[in-house]
Amino acid sequence: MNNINKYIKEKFDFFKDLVYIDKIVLANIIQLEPKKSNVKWLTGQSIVQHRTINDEIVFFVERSKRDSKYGIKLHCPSFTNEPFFRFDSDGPAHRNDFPNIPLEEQSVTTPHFNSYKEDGKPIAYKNKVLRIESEAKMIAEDINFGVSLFCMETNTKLKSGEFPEIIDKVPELDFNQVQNINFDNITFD
Amino acid sequence: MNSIEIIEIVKSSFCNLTNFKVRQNAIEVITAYSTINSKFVSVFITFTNNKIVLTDNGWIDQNYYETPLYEDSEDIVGKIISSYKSSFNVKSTLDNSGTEYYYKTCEKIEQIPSAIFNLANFLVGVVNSFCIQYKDEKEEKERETFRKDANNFLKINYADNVRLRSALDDFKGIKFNAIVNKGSNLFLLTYVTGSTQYYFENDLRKSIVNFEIAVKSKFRDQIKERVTIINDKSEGYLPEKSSSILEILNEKITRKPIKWTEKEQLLELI
Repeated sequence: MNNINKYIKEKFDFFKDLVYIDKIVLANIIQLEPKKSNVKWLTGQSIVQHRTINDEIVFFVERSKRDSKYGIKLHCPSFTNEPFFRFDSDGPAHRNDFPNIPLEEQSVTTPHFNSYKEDGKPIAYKNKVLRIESEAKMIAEDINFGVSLFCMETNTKLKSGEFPEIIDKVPELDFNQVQNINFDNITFD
Repeated sequence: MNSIEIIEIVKSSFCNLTNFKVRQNAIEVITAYSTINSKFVSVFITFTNNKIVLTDNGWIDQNYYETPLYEDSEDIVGKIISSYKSSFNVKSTLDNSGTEYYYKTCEKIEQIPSAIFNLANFLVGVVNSFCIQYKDEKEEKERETFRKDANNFLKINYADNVRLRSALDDFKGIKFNAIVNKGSNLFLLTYVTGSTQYYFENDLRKSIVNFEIAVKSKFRDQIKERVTIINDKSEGYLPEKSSSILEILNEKITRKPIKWTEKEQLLELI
């Protein structure tokens, strides 16, 4: 499977500017609402203002009602259809299949960031904070911690210098309570 | 470097590749098996209702492996999943919200590793099957464009006298790209195109069979001409390489195949 993002490969400097140059999230509060295409997910977004790039940039947050997995991503639709930078709180480990990385280090478990290398190949990584297991666990369990971490990693903040707050518009349960799948209610023959 | 050293390196790397997450309700085994979209598959071990159950945690159903969505591949993916299910003896069940879980059960703790091995192999196969684009998009596009162009050309010149994708009344299953009626005369037309030699020759073979059947029809006396329109602009048009099949086609048609770049010849014929 060819996973290379050719747009990022062609304009890698532009990609780096997108990710690392200062950005302002316009919405102080991002409200999560049920996703139209999947009832098990909540989603919210805000427009982002980039210091040097005028293309439309959107900050997306999604959260699963099933197991509290959430994702944060930055999109620049005029550049590439895929989000150019992401954070996954849970879900499968990513394989960094590069010859210079020893096999046992190729598995990058969640929570992790997803970015791209110069050749347009996706790469997952944990920053310093995520490499500390207790911190990683706390971040995976609290979407607002995740948003702060994501914003710091991508130089994104509110005008005030703070980070946007994520709230559930129609809370069905305590927002910070982690949902676990109840296997006892599933029939396994 | 000696053999033992190499063996040790390989063994320890493979072994250290497997990771674990201890969750409240399950142990997640982040296996050493990865998919073509660069995900390691996870197997979840849980103890429920006095059973050891290994599941995918609904991750396939919820697309946590982030496989692309290709239209029209449901059928083939369904077939692949069912054959992997029977090979690895994997079952599936739905929770009350409709999420599908793939799972295996074990009676004893000693059986867990082997069951993980099977479920992990199953998951890799299933995720990979979602990642493949089965339809040849370039071919579909080229075929569609040529079909439309040829249809339009016939429509403009023969208006209501042309029936597209039509069959002779006594061989309903054998469709011709077009049948033109002129008085009591019938003109049978087939199109041949393809983005590769393989697809092009497939069309040639279809034309050959269709015309062979046509001459067995009770309407054979009304069939004035059997004609093939060849897309000589297509990449699969390699007359020298396809010469033997073209020769057989020539035996089945009443005129030399008409090249698309010389399509006006058709107007002289019909």
